[in-house]
Amino acid sequence: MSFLEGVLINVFILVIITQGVYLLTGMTGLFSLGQAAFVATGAYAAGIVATRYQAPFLLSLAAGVVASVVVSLVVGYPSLKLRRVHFSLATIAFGYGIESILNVSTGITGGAIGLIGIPNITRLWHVLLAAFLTIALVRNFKLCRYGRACVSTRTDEVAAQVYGVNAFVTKEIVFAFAAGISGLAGGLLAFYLGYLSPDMFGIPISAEYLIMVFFGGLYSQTGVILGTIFLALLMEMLRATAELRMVLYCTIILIFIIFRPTGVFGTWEFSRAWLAGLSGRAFGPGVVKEGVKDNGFKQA
Amino acid sequence: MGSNRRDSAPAFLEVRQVEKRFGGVLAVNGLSFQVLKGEIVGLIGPNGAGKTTVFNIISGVTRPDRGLVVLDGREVQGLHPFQIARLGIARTFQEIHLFKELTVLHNVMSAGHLRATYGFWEGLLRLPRVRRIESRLAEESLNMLSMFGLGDVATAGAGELPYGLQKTLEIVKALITRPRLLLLDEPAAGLNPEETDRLKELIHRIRDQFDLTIIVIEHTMDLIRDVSDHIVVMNFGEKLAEGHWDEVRCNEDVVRCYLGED
Amino acid sequence: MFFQQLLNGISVGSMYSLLAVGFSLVYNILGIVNFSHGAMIAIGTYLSYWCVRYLRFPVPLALVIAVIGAGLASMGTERATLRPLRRRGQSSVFFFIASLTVFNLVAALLTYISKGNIESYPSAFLTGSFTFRGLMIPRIDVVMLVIAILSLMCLTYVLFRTRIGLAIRAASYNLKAAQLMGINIDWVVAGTFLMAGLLAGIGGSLLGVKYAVYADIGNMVFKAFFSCMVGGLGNLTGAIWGGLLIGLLETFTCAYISSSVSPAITFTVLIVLLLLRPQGLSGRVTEEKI
Repeated sequence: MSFLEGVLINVFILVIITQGVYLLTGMTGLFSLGQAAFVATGAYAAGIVATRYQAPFLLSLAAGVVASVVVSLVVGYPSLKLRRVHFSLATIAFGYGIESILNVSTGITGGAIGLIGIPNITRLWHVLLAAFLTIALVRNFKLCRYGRACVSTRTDEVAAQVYGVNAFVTKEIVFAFAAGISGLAGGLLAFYLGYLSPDMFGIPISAEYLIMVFFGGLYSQTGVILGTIFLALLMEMLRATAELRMVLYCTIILIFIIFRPTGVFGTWEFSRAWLAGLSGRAFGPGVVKEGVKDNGFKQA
Repeated sequence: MGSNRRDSAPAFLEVRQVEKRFGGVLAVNGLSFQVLKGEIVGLIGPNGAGKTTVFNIISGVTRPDRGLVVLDGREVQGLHPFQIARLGIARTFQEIHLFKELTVLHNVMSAGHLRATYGFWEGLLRLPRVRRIESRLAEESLNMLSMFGLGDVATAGAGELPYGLQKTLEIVKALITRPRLLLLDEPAAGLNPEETDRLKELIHRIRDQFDLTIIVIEHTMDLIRDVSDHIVVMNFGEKLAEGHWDEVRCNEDVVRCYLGED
Repeated sequence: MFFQQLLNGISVGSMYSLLAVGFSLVYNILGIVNFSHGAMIAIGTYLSYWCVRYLRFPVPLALVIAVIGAGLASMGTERATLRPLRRRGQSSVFFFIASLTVFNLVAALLTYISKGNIESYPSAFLTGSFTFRGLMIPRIDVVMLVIAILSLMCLTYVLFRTRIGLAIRAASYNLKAAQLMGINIDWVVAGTFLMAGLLAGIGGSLLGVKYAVYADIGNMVFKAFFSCMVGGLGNLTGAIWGGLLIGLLETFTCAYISSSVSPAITFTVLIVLLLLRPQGLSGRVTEEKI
């Protein structure tokens, strides 16, 4: 595997993960500091299934996704009933919890030393395919009624409920969806690295995902994708500066957050309508149709 | 609609002995009234009389401590707001509760959550059925917006609209849910007389066109006079009087409560 | 054994209380969860450690320098990140992210400087212990407890007897109204961050003496966050009790069960607690702000 392929695999695994964070934080307004723990769940589940039971690649990935989703349902059921601040706290607790479980259960996870001997199967095209699928699913979700339910829940939970949105179930769906995405990314990561250790998935890592989502633009799926790619590449480039890279990286992000808090892309989305706008034609959803403009009822 | 019919016809919505206490304050105290199918009922009373609390109870935002709310023969008190929405009750808010960051069209489509009848997996895969339902919903939303004079601003941000249009948008959002019962909380507040006149016409018109039953809270008395078939007057959480405009207007208690005691 | 653990728990808990109170002060005024508090803890830890280690300052002087340094750093953070966002009327979630970044930044910086090593104080000044009625009592535990009590007394004095304290209390009831009453909000916010930073500095430097000096010590902020939640977010007295409770819970699970599952147990207890009493133990319901 070439150096570049390794870099790109890292980058696109992050793209997959931040799609989940975008669902949670950008669309639904839930701040999770335990997202890395879902990545860990997926990674370890896939890794364990692969090393202990010699499960094939795809089956192991599926096991990772399923494990993550199941855990998210168990964790989400109580914690999503809490107020939003308390939910963030619960996710931190979950992050710590997973870390200590991974550390303690030495027999299954390898404990603090880590899980080793996972076959190196992941190639760039696997990750690209997974990233593409994730992005497509998240986009579809955003455009469907559940996506709108998320946004209305974030904006005004009482009003959303009055329009028939079950806010709790909506949050559960999103939480599980995001966990599934994280689990998939975790599985790919496991088969890329070949080893896993608990400290790869701490709370600071979850915080970093959040920062990546904010960097590109909290409310823009395009922004989140491009922002993540940019930051992940930046991180790779800064590898040359060795230990200082985290410092530089955080400084750059901080400057951006202060001077452009809504993220580089704000709410802008890449769309056909935008492309058409560039070429001077207008079509696509969101453009008001001629002819239905006025039925003569109320002139504003 | 005379009082004869009220006595005989079965109620579409019945509020029976409802009580709600906030801390030491009895916001609603043993309130009972009935609304017939197709009626427009005015709910009036001085500020703090508990009118909005009644709306909150009917729409499930607030859980009553005691009493029943019966919609079309079914007890609905204590259900969650989204369950009540599914039974066909929609409402507007006194303080505007728009999704301010979204466009006007998106606001309406978000409110149309229950109208988009497809499941999670279908939505995720964006099957042709989903696209069809979505474009139908978008079209219906646009039509509805145009009908209320908001067609031109469909792509504007909801928060950027002038106040009057935001109030209209609230009504459009309630209507897109295809309710059977519509609760309007002070729809005329902040509107000028001309806009208020248009609102009167609009309330009648949506009742007929969408086959609605409407309860409206309002302080603008001439709107109440012109639209209400029946009026319920509240004061300090209790029902002070009810009846037709002419009956209520002459009621001594009501006059005293509005003009002050002497 | 039991009494030693009890004292240990109370003294660690008292440090958590200090951290939690600082965390709560900022939350009260601005309604923001301020994770840069963790950075201030770490700054406090390292400043005092460096002063002792490299400059050979006596420990008390080092502690004073560390506390002041953390206070100033906290004020500086507010000035550099929060104020520009606040001036432009941005939502508080952006500060939340900025504060997380500051937290990560300082942790990264300290990892870089310390090369990821875990260090401990060279002198035995505070690390010894004495015997009292047959009980071995570590000196640091007593010092921590005394300093915590003194700091809380000072804080109470500042909050209830001084002009800035009055302004801070007014602002935590209603920031907008306080502004309309002619209170200089920039000044109040800066003052609050200064106080929070001072408390973080005290907690950070003493916890560094007790445990060890390492770059991730800022993670203690999560414990402060938990303590606030237990006591009811936004409630200062609640934060103190919350801190003590967490300290005790942690010490006892470590001592009697296992140090590696201690966090998991602590947090499970907390989540169950929050489910049963979302308003925290103290019972004051505060408005949801984030």
